[in-house]
Amino acid sequence: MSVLYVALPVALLLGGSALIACLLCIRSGQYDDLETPSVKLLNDELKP
Amino acid sequence: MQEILETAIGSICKTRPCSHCGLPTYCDQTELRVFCCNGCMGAFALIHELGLEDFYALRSAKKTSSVDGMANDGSRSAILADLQASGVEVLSMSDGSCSVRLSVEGLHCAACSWLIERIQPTIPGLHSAVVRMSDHTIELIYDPTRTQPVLVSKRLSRLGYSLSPWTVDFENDQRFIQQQRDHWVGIALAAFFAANAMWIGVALYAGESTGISLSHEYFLRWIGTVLALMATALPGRLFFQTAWQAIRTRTPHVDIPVALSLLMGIVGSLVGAASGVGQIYFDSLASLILLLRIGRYIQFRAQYKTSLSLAKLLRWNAVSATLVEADGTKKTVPVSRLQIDDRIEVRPGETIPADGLVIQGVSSVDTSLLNGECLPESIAIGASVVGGTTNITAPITVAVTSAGSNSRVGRIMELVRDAASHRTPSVAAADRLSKWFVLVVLLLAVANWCGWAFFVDAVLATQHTMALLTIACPCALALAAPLVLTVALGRAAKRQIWIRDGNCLERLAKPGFLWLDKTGTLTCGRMKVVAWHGDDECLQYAGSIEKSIHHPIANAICDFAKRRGLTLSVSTEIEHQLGKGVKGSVEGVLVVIGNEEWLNKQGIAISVEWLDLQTKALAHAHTVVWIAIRGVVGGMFEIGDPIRPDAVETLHAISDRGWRMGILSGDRQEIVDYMATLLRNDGIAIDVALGQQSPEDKLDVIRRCKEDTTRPCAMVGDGVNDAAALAVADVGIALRGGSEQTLYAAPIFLANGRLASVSELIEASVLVVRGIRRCFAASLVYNAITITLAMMGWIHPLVAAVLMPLSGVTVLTMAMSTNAFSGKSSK
Repeated sequence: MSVLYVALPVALLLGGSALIACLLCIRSGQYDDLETPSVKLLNDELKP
Repeated sequence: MQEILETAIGSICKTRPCSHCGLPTYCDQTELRVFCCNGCMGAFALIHELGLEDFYALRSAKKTSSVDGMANDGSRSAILADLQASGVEVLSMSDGSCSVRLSVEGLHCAACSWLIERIQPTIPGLHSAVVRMSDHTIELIYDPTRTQPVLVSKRLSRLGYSLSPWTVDFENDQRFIQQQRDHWVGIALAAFFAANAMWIGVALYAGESTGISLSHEYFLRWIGTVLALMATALPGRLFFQTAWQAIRTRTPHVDIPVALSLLMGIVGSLVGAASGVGQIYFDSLASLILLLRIGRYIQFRAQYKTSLSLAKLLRWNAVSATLVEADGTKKTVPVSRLQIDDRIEVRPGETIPADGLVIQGVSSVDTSLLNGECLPESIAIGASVVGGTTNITAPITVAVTSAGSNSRVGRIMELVRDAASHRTPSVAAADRLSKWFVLVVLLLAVANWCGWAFFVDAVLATQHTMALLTIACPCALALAAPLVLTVALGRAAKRQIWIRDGNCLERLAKPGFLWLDKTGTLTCGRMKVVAWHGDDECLQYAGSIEKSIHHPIANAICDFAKRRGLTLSVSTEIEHQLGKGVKGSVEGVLVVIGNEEWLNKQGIAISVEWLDLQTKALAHAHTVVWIAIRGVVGGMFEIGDPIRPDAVETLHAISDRGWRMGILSGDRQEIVDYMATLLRNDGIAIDVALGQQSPEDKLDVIRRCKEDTTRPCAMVGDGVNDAAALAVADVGIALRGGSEQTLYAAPIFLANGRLASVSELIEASVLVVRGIRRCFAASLVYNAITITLAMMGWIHPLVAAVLMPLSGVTVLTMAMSTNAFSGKSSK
């Protein structure tokens, strides 16, 4: 049996888990505001 | 001497920007820091106290924060003190802390949000303060036992930012966030399937050139097809859903071609994978769905931003009101909470939040918003006041008679909003056009597929037809026209130009015939002393006498004397005869004021030189009023209704655009003629000047004018007397009168009372029509070119998916940037 029949589903599963992580991030509201974080990035080093 | 002094001051004093807000400030050169006011100095000191000097380095040089926010502080902080009572949504968290979203005014750039968030550690009990730049709001999470939003608000107001309850409704915001999350989920899923389908596709292409075992090829093909099918079923479902809805309601929709294109891709892929011959599309299909989803998201963002800015344009009323309870306690509530019979207190300088009757206090209100009247109107107990007007002199208590959308201002805003949702000819045309467009595209697609399949082969036919179906985008057509119009109406409302009917705005674009009423339209509509022949002593006597009489001419003389800076004395033994004159005594001196007949009756002779002056004045259509002191003529007033200061400039601008003009007045013919001559002398072509017109005559003139010409016939006049003529004209523009009654008669009401707004309107109309046409043209050209290219087989479906949202967003941007009513001419 070729390794392809194992490798491909495994690769898809790995990708799928990353996808699920991404979906969880979206559900948690991390992507709700896309403007402010970009602006804040500049200020991080100034944090007291 | 003064000149020398000024140069001396100039040498030591120069303007330098204020260290906090950047306004030019006079200062001594030696000072290190300069402040324009104590407010700025305080803010500067606070920022330093907190160790946040970096604020000044971070903010951009141009954008300076204003200190306007300070003014309304009292009422706002009262609202914030009792959030629950004010109806603001406060969420209680599981750990006992509270979370609330408030709107921040005065946000400009990154530095502002940085500064505000840096405040958080300095307030004990405030867990977090997060600014959202997109809609200028801040979310506070705090421990309610240790701090309150009002404290934060006080801190921030020292920096020039003011917090207020967030006015965008909570549910709407939640819906937006939910929709945005759905979009993100769709994009993430689509990206996953597209990426995986892509590398399987790469493996297959590589296998094709280097050799691949048949079993592997089948395996890869089937995995790829499953991925593509899942992509269509999950993130691609959106397009099928909307297309299906459109088919069920029989309204051609842009998603029908898109769904058809996806369907073709699936069928093609399945046939290819099953037969093992021919191109298969699963990688293209999954990528297509990804690109389409991204495009949809971009359009969603653009539309949301547009609707936000429109909502901002149409929101302008008072936010809070001071409610007086039965036991006399006062509390601040949002206007939306006001009910009939509530008692509210309105302090001087505040906007009256609802219609009502004054039950306590004597004051005056500025009603210019409603009727363009620039003089304050005095009110006392029992007087009715209108929401949206401003209380000026003293605090009053008002019993609410109607609030919210039932109030007069509420009704006006509704009329304007209706106008925005009403379909004007070009909007309706755009709608029809986009429906036909979808049908034409579908027909073209069928023809295209048949053609390519017949002459070349079915695989290429499918690919090119997919490109054609994807790239055709009528949305620009359907969206642009209403958007341009709505933006213009909203901006006009901000300038107190109420437009009830969008049609009118479109009609003004073509030059036609403009009829102008005289009194109150071309002129100020108020008697004024235009010339005075005599000395100050005489004038003082005249003013003292006229002070005790209420008559337009008496008021004019009184005003004139006051403006000269004269103090008026007490007059006695006043004897007044309407239409003739008045006599009385001031400090024992007999003063007679009146027309020639009145003076003669009192046995006072007027010399020949004076009579010459009178002849000249009469030739100018002025009313002449004489004054005699101790039986001797001492002076002569020329009283008239002067032309509005902005009239000449405005009429010039209008006639430059090719409009013809006529005067239509109820006044005497010679006065109207004189007015026309005056205007003609200023180089304005007045075609007709008709006097002695009754309201019915005016109506007739407008009717005849409409019959004579196909061009628009517009009328500018008084909302009260000319209502009939205004209603009949193609475009009726009212300058005076009560707003909402007038708006029913005349589709356009200039509540700002400026004649110049007429030329602004005409200019805006041209811009609106041009903006709509430009969007139409852009959309049609785009579609014509891309459809042709797609039919020729030059565009790949993926390129098509990238181009489609681009065209929609371009048109949205074009529509929003139509600069009708955005000019600097507002004063």
